[in-house]
Amino acid sequence: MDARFKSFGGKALLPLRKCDVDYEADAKEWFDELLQILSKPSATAAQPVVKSTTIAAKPAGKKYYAAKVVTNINLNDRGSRKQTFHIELGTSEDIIYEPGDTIGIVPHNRAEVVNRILSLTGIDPNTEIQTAKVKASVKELLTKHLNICYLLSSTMKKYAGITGHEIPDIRMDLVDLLRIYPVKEASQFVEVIKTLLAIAPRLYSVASSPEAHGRQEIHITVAKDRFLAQDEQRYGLCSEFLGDLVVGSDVSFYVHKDKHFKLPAPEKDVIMIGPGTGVAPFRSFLAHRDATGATGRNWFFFGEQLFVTDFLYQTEIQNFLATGVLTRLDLAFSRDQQEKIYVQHRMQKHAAELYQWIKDGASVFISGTKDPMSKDVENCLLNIFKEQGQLNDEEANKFLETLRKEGRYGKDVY
Amino acid sequence: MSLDKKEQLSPVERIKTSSRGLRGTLTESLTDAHTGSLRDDDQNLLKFHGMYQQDDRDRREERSEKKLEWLYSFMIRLRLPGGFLRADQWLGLHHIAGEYSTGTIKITTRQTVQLHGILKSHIKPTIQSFNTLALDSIAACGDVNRNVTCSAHPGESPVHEEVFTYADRISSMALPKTRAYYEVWLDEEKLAEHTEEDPLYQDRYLPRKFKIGIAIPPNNDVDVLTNDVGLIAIVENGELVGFNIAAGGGLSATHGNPSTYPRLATVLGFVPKGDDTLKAVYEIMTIQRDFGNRSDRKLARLKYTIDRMTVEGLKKELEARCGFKLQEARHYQFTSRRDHYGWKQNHKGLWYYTLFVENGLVRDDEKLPLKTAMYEIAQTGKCNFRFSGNQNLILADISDSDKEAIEDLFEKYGLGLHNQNNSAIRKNSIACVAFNTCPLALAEAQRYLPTLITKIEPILEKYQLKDDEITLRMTGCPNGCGRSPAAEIGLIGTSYGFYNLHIGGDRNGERLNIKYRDSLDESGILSELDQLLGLYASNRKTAETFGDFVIREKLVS
Repeated sequence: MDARFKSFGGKALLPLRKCDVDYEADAKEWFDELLQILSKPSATAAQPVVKSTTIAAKPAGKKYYAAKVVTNINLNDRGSRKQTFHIELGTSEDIIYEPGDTIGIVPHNRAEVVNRILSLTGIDPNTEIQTAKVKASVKELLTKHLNICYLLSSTMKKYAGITGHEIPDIRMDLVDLLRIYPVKEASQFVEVIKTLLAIAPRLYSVASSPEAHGRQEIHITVAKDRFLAQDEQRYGLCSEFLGDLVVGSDVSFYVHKDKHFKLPAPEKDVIMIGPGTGVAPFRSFLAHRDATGATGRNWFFFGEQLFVTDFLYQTEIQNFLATGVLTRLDLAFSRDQQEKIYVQHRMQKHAAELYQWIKDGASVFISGTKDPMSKDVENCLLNIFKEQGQLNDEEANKFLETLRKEGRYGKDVY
Repeated sequence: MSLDKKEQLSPVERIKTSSRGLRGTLTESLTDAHTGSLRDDDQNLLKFHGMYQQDDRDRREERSEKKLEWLYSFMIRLRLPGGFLRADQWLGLHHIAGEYSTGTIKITTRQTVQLHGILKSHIKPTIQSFNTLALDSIAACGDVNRNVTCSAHPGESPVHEEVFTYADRISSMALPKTRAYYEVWLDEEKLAEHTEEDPLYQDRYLPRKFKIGIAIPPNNDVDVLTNDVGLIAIVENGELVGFNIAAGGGLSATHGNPSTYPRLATVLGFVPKGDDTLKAVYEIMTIQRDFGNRSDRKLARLKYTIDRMTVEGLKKELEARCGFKLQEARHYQFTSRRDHYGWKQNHKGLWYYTLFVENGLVRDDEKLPLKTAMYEIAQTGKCNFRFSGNQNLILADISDSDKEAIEDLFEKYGLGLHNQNNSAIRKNSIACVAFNTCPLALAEAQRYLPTLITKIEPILEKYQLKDDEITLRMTGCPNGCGRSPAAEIGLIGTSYGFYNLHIGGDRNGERLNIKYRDSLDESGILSELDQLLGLYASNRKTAETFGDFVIREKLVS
């Protein structure tokens, strides 16, 4: 059917995903993505999502930076339900990036899992192998380059073909596969290695500014729940969670430019809505505007669960407020009181001023979880446009669309 | 110091006079959502409302690393003249402590209770809850008259009831007139634009805190001479006739500042009971208001004012302001300063049970479910709660027929033997709060003294001194909240883990101790005490107290 549509010049909203008996998870995800695309106001189809997932295909020809973890701090205090890590990566060369960019990090596989694989197969860890993209020792390939977690059905089939085992159509980690359906000899495993796919990089919004933090350092803000939610199911637990990396660990990353999430001219005002880890790019923005002496006003909306334990980057934000870099700050801590209060409630409370800022040329940025936060916030914005600007639904959407086209509305959501 | 500098008012003076009756920007500070702290000036004003801003000093470093501000919270202290709560008020306090604070109810050395760890957003609900119990924290801290203390035990004197009313009358008389407390915390509408006239405090309040205590001899359980004004009840032929009035007590000092010193109050003379007593107290306050040092807060207490004016000078000014002369001081004698644990009956036949509460901390711990027990006792509604200046609790006004029900609850919670199970020295010890919340603390106090005493007890045992009622007091700094300068053994923190050892105070609170050794660590403290107690055990005269012994032997002078 897919081929037939294509032959008539049909354009897929979403790439085809083939499923088998165990279809539920994949199907749900595919339908969810489809519904999101369909529920968006026009124009989004052509440009599906600003940054839809943290798992992106590893693009060819990217410049990779070799970095060491310089700092790794859990920003949440004792007693919090959250774990959010502020991670600083240091390089020996200048990193070319700007506030609003994202970095892709390739997580390394756990050493104990790699060692188990090596001993199960009996292969010499130093055997050099040329895969589709890299040539390296088996140990290095298994550690830094190849995905060994929750293998795709297609990879499983290739494994069955190479080893001659009868394997049901399921997915599992390579180490379990080797344990249950062993390879006959090391040379067979070399063939298996060539079928493994590259580790998918994870994208994280940059939380630093080269102007403020120097060019050989880049910061990110990583929440553990986000990592686990996606990886427990997709990857098992065989790759390192960034928050667990000790200072001095090696990491490689590349910079992903984001044209739609860029600070406006220095004299322009900026409204930033970034609850939770959504704070990351705005720490970058504020640090940048501070370091460069930008004169535009800055208004930041932040939210989390508890004031005492979850106010990410509190002291830095207080400093921005004290020095006037931050013109306004509105906070929403959802669990500090009986009724849940979120950033959109704070926006609504200051609707008139917010609308005035936008009418006066302010840019609006949203960062953080896509669902439900970014949708609630966007709906809140549309409501504010309607109420404050006396607009109907269509006009409000059009106004938002205009902002988007002018580069004054950006989303960095996941 | 130049004359100009001397006359320059301390920054706190400006904060007070420009505060519009202690209102400041407290309301705005409460709405600053980005911080758990108050604005600088408001932190000063808050004290007049009975609260201190504090932070968890144990957590500073870790929080800073996490880019979180210090863990700010607030301590609230109630105004409880003479230290009295009804059972229903205790129940309410129990719930408020659980809901908004660390949960621990701390009985203070001034017969009130305080709660720690209240977040900024919980201050208003806390005060509103107290208000429904007819309790407030007005003027429990700050440059005003603090909680008025009064001999705690109604069973010790038939005039107690009458004397106790003076604590209340003085507290009311010396209450600031501003409605700020009601407006800021209880959302009372401001009636007029002008700030209330306050003939006592004016707009500048006192130069420093002011403490008043009332003792009924022969027991000096309130440590009456450590107050700015001390009233000593004079009872003749079974009737209260009036008070000897003493002035100029105060124990705070500053390490390395020789112009600061602890001082016991000087008895000025006798005043008949009634309006004359109140008038004399009031006018000592106005003299301190007008003559106290407002440029250096370390030299601002009444004790320094008196030493500048001389006692005679003060007396003359006081008599001029009162319009009557003080009579010659009447005879009185203190024979003890301790709480008398266990059951005691008063002249009306009501029962009182004094319960040892180590360092005044009412909480449940692995040894004793004290807080739960007190809650259940309060639930019976068969007793009132009184607090002593030694940080203990008196279950009060229990009728003969209700006594058994209370005793059953002692049994249930293992309180029956609690008093006996603690050594004499432990029951005569006091420690201030210090770490982790007191910003002034240089060393530990209430978190450390219990373990130190556990190590001192075998020494006392060794010298057969375990029933000796030696007073031992520890403070984390030289400001003396735990009245360490007025103990037979005083340990005063100098830096973390180190204490100056003071000895030679008398047992009844009429002679201060003297520094004997500088900055001792624990092993230093133990070996010095071992030596001193050994000497005391072998060389003391019959019934001679440790404090008197070390003075007679000239171990300190």
